Amino acid sequence: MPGNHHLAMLFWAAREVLRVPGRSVLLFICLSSLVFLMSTPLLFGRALDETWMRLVKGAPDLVIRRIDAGGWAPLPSDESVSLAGTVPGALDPVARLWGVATGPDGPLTVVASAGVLSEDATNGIKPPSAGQAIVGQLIKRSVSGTQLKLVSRHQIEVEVVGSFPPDTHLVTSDVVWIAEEDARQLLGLSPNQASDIAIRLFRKEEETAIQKDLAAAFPWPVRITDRSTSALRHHSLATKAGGVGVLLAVPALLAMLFLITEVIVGSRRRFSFWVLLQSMGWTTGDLVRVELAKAVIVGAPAIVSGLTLAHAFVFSTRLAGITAYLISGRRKLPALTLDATGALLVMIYVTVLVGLPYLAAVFLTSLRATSGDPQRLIGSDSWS
Amino acid sequence: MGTLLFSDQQGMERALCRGAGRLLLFSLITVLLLSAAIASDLLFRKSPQTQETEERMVLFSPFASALWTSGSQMRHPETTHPAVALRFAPGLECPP
Repeated sequence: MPGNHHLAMLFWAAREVLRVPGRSVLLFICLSSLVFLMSTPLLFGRALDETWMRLVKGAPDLVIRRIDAGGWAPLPSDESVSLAGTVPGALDPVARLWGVATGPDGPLTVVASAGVLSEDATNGIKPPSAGQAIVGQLIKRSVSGTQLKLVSRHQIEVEVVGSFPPDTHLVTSDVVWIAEEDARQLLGLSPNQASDIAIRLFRKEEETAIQKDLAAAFPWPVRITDRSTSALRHHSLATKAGGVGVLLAVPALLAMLFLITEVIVGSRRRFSFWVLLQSMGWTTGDLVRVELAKAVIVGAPAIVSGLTLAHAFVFSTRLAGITAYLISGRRKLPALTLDATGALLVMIYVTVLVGLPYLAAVFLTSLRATSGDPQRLIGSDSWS
Repeated sequence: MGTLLFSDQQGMERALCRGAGRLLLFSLITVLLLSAAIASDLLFRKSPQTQETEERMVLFSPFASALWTSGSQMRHPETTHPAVALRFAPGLECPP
């Protein structure tokens, strides 16, 4: 029966795998590490890109900042909001109050914008009162006790009363949210001054075109930053990570294929074995099928193991922080929650990229080796 | 005697195939279990509520993620100053 024949062949192949356990284990390790090394940067790049593209959808389209020869300058909030509102297409101008201050472990971002951060936006987190602070997880770890000392234009000390949700590390890790009066004191801003103006656009396509009109509407020099540039920056980082991963893995894949070919064709003992089997009635097709079955028995679990490991390193919140640090070379976050949209496609891509050449190498080399003249195979035996 | 020899041969064949059977079973179970683990994680990994919270939190730092350090231009691209062109070759249209 054909079914029994195939099953017997599978058992035969499994026994052959067990006959050389060291080589099989090495092949398993090689394949799974190759898949892991190739898929981790690709998965991370895709996940970071997807996550950030989703997150910035809620961000303002443009941010207008006043500049002078020395750097950025605070702008009069009421006047700036009304000036931005005069430009057709610019909606909901909001004055933001934020800056950079020195904390216990280096620089951190201080925000205090009641206009931008409505109660709805903060999802139930109660805004801090004067003298209080809500901090990101990185800052929470570096603060001993509950007092946090912040230094910028002036120095203030606030009490840590809460922290941002643990799933928002990518956005809030180094952010301190304080009351407006504390922020003004810390950053040296008077009551009618703001750090910048955030606006939304009626048509997103006007993002570049409207910048000239907005700049002309203000009586002082301004710098306008758009959301697309931010998305592009993250996209570049993600693409670079994925590209480097593939570039590093392709030579490794070629080296592995070369080794597989050498192992199949280069061994005289295998030729003798094949001659023996052919003399017992095995066809070339049988021999090739056994070699392919051996490749699948070792290769399939190896590829799936490599993919699982890569998946864990990218999508497990704790491990993702380490992966992001190693791949991007940026800051090490305590945890990172990334979107898994499109991860399945990346996994299929890596499986095909590694699995197909692997099976093709086994198939072609074993076919070439076994389909020749049996006399040549006998002659190649070291005993004859 | 002949029956005994036959049963011994069968037993021997079975013993020889036991390891192979285990390897096949291990291979199949590994592939199925790990694929199921990945598929289930991809399907149920994040609640919409968590995503909503994160999307709202982006208002705290709208233009760059916390992968970049606070105070750097990559973290706060809004603070990048166009600066004064100090080039020795005017006409090259790229920022200094």
